[in-house]
Amino acid sequence: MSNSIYLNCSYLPPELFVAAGLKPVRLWPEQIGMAGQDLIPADICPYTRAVLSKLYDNNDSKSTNKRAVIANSCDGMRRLYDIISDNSFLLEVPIKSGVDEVNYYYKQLLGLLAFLHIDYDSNYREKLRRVITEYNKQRGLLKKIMLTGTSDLLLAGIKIYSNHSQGNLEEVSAKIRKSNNIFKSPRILLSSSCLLDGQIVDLIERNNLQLAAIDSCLGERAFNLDINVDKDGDVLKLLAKSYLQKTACPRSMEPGKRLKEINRLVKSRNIDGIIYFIPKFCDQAGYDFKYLKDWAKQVKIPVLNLEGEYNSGKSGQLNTRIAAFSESLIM
Amino acid sequence: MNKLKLIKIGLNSRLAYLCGKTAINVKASGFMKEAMLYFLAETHAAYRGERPVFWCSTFVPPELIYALGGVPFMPEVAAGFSATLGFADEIIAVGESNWLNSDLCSIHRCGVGLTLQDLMPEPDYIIAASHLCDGAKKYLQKISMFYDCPFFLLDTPYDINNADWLAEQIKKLVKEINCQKVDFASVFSYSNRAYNYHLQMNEIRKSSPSIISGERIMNLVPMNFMSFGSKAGVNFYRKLVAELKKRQSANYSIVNREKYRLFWLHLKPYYPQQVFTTLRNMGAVISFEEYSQLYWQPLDYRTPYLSLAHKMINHFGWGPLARQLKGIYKIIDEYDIDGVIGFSHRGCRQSSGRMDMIKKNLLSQQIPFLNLDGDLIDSRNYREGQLRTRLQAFIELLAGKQGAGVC
Repeated sequence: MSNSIYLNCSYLPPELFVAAGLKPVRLWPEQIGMAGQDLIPADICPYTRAVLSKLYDNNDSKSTNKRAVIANSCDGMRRLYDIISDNSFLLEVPIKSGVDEVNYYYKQLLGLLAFLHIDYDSNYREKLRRVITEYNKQRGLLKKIMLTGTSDLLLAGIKIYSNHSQGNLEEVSAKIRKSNNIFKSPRILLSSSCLLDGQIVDLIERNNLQLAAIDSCLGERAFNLDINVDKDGDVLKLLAKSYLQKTACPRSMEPGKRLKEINRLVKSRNIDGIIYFIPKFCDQAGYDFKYLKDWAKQVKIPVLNLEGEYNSGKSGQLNTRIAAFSESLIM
Repeated sequence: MNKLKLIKIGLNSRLAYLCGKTAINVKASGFMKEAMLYFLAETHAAYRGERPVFWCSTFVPPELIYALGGVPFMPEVAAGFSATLGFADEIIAVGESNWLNSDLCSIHRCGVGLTLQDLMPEPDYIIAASHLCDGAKKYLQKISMFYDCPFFLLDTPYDINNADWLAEQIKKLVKEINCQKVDFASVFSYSNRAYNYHLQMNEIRKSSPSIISGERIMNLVPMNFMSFGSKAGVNFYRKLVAELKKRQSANYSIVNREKYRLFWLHLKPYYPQQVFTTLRNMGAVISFEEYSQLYWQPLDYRTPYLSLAHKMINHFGWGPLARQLKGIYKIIDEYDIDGVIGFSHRGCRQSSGRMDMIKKNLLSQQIPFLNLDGDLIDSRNYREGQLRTRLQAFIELLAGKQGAGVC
């Protein structure tokens, strides 16, 4: 069996697997294949269907030998787990991040290690500390790229970070050049539960908007944490706490914490407008948007709501709407 | 004066309740009378604030609310009633105009609309479980902000081995609400008595021909959701069992000649429709329905929190698909079922999300299955002709399987 293990959620610590000699691959599928169309109803979100296709190698075979760890994050993921449960582990990730929840999450991570036949001994703990340190460096580089680089560099960086493609983050970071943005474009915060194939990013930039923050599970929420491994204590507990208490996602039931983070991004990155992308049939994003919209109205930040599937970047309708939003911000 | 204004006045009027109670006492009888009196009394208590009003998502156990001395109020049930009374569509549109897109569950959109139209009783507390669907907890949290009332979330584990985590949350909630007396003993006693009657009902319903239709039982599903733990719940199920026994001894049948015994998955549309009449006209009867399964064990007041946690986690739609399938096959066997109809409620990722998988599994065992798409409360996309054609085709399939002609 391959040592690759597939992960669906930014709350799952890749460090845990690397320390055990496994290769964690963040699931970032770029299309829905046959399995996703055949086995999951059309009104389940496209990400779920694409993930299933990816695990089935985009063919319509009736089984997969790929191992996956699926966070119990939404109905779609539970339906995915219904299909792939023979090879997979469903990890309970609490929807709040208090002390009790951290302790519970810690217990779940121990259960995951047991499922993977990993002994949580001193040898593994030491390896885990080293891996976390390495991941901290990678996250630091990604933050630098996010703040000073371009979106194509960022996407390349995230793909490397998530083992989705080969490469070296330092080399990507070295490609950062001074911005040649002569005209001051409106600065955009792109928010979503999941950006699917990421094409929406290109569409935004093609419309003379500057992407200044990506609040998405496949964006900044994946690397917006720094874990202090110098602290004494149980390193797995530290990992559980850091991941559970990182930037909240639309699934979280802590809207105050989530809006605080959005507010921080808006202020620290001088955001002029927010584009919120809802993957079709994503209930988490559907309700999250309502919170964000109400808040944005209060603080008078323009918001554009977009909904889409894979290949949204090719949609003329979305292009027109983003162009109109861009014009309204410039005016 | 429009219908909504009249309803609003009626819900808040003592006189309307008095008239309603008199009418029920005069006109209704048996289990229907018990159900109607229960809803009238609890609705009255909620709107007049006679006891603390707890809004909850459907699978928060009502026993918890009764033990806390409160009135359980389930907005999802209220949404069902609004469909039955014929005003859900316009209320759903109110929810949609408030930035809730039409891909979200219509029941939740309706809940938001009813709140914005001020048709709901004001909550003292809101409790949501992360149980079954993603939408319920989200919209209830938003509504708690609208009313500025305390919101409690029960983060429900998927695995029964983690029940102690949920038990701890329930215990913490009870402590935070800090009510003077928490009476699990008598509430669990009522719940278990109702449970035993329900069990008897399920046994009686195994008889052929069917003596009560699944449609009727699904109309009364709010009793299943809300009345466990109340004395009225015991009375309702006791009278229902008595009625079924009476029918059984009188060799009662709900159709002249029962040809096909069907099992219904999920719930039914609550607006006027012709699904069940169409089936009955072809000799097909819903002999049992998924929501009548007693998936939990009687509650134990000595371990109240764990007992409630087990009840929540053991729900057939939560946890492994294999467990749900096992329950389905058991019913097919025990109720001598000829075919299964799964109602795929639009926007319901938890139930309709599994329907295709259940269908494939049942078909692999040569059990006929019809996946019927529709909406539980939003009648705007209801197409009677299309639906009738699908039902007829399904019955033809059953007829072919039995080697008999269609009626």
